[in-house]
Amino acid sequence: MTSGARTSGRLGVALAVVIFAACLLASLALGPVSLSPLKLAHYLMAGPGGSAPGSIIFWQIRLPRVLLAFLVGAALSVAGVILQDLFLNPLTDPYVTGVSSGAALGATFGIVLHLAALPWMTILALIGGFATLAVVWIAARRRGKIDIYVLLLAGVTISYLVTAVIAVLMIRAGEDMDAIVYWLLGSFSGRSWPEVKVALFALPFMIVPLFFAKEMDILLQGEKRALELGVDVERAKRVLLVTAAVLTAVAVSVSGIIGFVGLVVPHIVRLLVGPSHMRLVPIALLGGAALMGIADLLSRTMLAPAEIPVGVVTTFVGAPLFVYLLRRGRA
Amino acid sequence: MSTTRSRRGLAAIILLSVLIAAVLGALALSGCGSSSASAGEASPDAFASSGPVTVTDDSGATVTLAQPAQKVVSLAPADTEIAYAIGGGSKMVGGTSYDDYPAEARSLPKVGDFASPSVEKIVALQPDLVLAAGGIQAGLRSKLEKLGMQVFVVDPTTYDGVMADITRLGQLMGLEAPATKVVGDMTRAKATVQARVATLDRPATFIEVYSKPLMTAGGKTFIDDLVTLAGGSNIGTQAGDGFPNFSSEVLVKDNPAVYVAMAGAQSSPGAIAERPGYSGLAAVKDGKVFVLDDDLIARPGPRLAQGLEQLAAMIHPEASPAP
Amino acid sequence: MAGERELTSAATGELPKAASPALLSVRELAFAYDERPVLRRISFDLQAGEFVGIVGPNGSGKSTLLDLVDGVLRPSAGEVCVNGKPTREYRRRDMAREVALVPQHFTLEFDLSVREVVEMGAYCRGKDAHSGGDAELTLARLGVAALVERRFTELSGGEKQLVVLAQALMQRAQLLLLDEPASALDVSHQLRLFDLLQQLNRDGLTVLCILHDLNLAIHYFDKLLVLSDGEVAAFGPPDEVLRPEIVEAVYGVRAYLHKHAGRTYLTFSPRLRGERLGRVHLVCGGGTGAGLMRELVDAGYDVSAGVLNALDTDEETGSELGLSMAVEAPFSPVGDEAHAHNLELMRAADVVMVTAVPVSHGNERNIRAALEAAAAGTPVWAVRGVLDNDFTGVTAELEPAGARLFADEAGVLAALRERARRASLTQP
Repeated sequence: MTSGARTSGRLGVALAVVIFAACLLASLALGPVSLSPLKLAHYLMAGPGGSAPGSIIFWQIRLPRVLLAFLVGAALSVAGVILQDLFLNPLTDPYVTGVSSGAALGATFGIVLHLAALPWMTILALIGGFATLAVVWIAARRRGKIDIYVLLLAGVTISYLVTAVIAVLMIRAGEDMDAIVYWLLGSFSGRSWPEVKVALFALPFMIVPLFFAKEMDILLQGEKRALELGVDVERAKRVLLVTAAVLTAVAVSVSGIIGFVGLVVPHIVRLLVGPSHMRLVPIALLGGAALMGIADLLSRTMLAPAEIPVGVVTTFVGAPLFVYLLRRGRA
Repeated sequence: MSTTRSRRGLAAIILLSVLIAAVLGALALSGCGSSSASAGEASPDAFASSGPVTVTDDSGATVTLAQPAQKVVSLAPADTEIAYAIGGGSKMVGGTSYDDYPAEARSLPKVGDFASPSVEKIVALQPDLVLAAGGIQAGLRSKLEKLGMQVFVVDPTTYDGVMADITRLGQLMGLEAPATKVVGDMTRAKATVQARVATLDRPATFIEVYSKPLMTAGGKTFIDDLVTLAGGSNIGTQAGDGFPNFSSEVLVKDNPAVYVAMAGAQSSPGAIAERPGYSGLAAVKDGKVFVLDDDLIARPGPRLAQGLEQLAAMIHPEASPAP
Repeated sequence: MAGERELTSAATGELPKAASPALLSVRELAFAYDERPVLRRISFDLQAGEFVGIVGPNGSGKSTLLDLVDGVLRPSAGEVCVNGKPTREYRRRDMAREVALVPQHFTLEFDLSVREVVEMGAYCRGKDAHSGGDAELTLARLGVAALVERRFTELSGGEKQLVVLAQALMQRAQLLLLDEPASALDVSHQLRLFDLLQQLNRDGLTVLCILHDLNLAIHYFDKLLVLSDGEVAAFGPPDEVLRPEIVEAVYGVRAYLHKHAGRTYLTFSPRLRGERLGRVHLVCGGGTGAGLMRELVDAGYDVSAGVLNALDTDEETGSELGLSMAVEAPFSPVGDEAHAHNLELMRAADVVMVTAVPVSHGNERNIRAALEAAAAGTPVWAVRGVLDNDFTGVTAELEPAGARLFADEAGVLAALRERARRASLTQP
């Protein structure tokens, strides 16, 4: 395998931006209701106030939904990169830390207590996510250091525990059980600007890993080697774990649990442009956003006006792509 | 990730997950609505109050009792309502945790929730007849039948189907006369509504079963039948049968004149009107956004008649008596 | 702080020497993993510019010591100071600028180029790092500039080791620690590596290196730190520190010091405990006995020899192996004293072996001694070749006296093994 076969860094970023833009355009232009590009441009110029159905659809339903899908896809992908490279385990996804199940538990409480109005649901989900992170964090602390291995086990264990608690709540919830089930099932349906505002909160956290790109590269050799080369490993772990947790909690709180993207996009991007984080993080960000956008586009268009759960589509889109790249063979 | 073996192993795992996801996806796509079976028929030799009874239920199975049921357990709130409505309250020995109508039903011994009823508790009550809904698991049904109980499934897809179920249950419980009366009331309600709306236009109507994700009642559901009977045109059928997710964009495009949300979705007309994209809907502009108690249109029982009347009043207020 | 030299007065005419704290100072260092102690009371200093090796058996705590010097581990007791400051007071980045470590094992399963891996070493330099050509220069210095664009995961074990060394050199630290850097290398690369380290040392790099090959240790290092069971067994120049007694005490094997072509080197033989195999006396000389001496010593026998002339190669071998010998002055025939000693040695032996040594008037008394031993009942085994090189005819008496003759040394050894086997069977 020669290095020439790998897309070079600059080319990679450029390509990613192009793909990102194309997917963004497609997501905005296509949908169950077709909007011609001319109309699209017109609506964009005219601004959000318009009363034509097309304008309403564009400004109130499609645009925020697409932005949300892109933000969530980006957040989950960056979280996936961070966690895969901290745990040095290719099967890691953003949900292993238990944050997602904690967020789900928070949302479940919200539903059961009839606090389903948006700010409450998000707040409870975020509280739930951080509460589980705190539990898992404390469990993993050994002599002032975070034992990544223990963190992984604790996260998975807490996930199972919390899922069981949610199941109990569901059974006792009676008629609210449906609401809980639907919330857990990841979806962008019915989401609009309020959710986008929450998701924007994750944007600065997506940039954080870029400030630790060198440290993350060195950490690929293991924590001990990184210490020997001068990296303040504990500090890097703390910052990166919290970042991944925020990204995951925010994503889950606005759109439920959507699998596969956070696991597979980092691998796909690594196969294409290599593991160096200055390239990997921004391209995974763009790639995850684009993938989630396309997945949502397909989920709302393929069987319109019915919608397919977006988690199913991400798997159907991402898995073949991933297998193809694996077979093409990259070290 | 650098060895061929780990790469292949990973590929194998991905393929397996895709397969499982495909299966799950297919199941999810088939919707969560009840699959309707062919409507059953009343057996010609069903006697009035004694002697053997045989009916076919909504799942197509034959239900036979040597004599009308004396002890009945219900596994669905709708079935409980029907049983009480036809006067069978004294025969009820057990119900679910969700039974809330009529009030007496709340004091029935509970056999668990409909998702996972306790077989032991059911057996302990020694019923001869168990009333179930469409989603009952095959394993549970055969277990109950092996233990000597008969299971009657109520899973209608139309208003008429509900009435047929009420009739059949009347036979099974030896309460034909009261059942006939209930059915008669329902028939009259239906006829009245139909008469009112017969000559009127059919406004585009949307039934919201759930808000996030947006979910509606599609074809082959009795809710859909109610909308048609009430003089509306259910736009949800475009999305298929059962209870599919519905695109908000198509909602805006189709611009329903009437928007009815089920109360379980925790909505109010004001909140609904403020949802993104809803401001342009005819239903919102004309103030025709309503919230309906789901028990009146989601439970296949006698109160469906009330649901029908309320629905008609929402869709065609001009033809309905003042509230 | 140890190592401070006293200021000398200008009055004596010498330039005042600056007080120079040791680059590395280890004081009463102890370390335990949970309850298990690994290092006890380690104390030593390392001055800037020294080239020191660490040797010791497996499990003696060598790698742990390096981790403590590098600050990756905290001492359970005692102190490690680098440039006068305890390691625990260093921030990681600052520590990496002072001390670089080349580990024995390293893992990287990601697809990075050699250049990227080497450049990671410059991280601790922060803004000082002049990246770009540095990686190539460093690799060139190690003789592997050609690897710079290769994928790290595709390299051989030895190549990887050199790349990691390059990575460590990029830190530009004063002190370089190495943990068995030659373990993955073949012999030529081993020697190249140590030559290279020597060169780096001459250019100013202080080196502390764990290695397991004692002969390389003797040859390359100014000082050796011998660790045994978590403690310092010895610290000093190799000649003092790797004396056979110390090696035996530390490693539990028998060691023999040899000098050849101006170089010292050690050889080893496993020490058998408890078994008394017996004693063999060798009549040899002129190099005919050296092979047997070593074989018998390795097999665990007590060996004596005689009479040998001083300066005879067999005598030199015997003396290196520490054998009891009857010795005569160089080039002299066997005298009475030597002969008597020889007889004594033969009496104490279980078997007398005679090699194909050329027999002349100078050493014919050795054969006579063997005949006496045979008469006394001691088995005498001779290699047939001794009959052919006999200028005196005395060897003709061996066979009639009851000596067994063998075609070659292998035959003699086989007979010895057989004897030992039978002896072990009849033992209670």
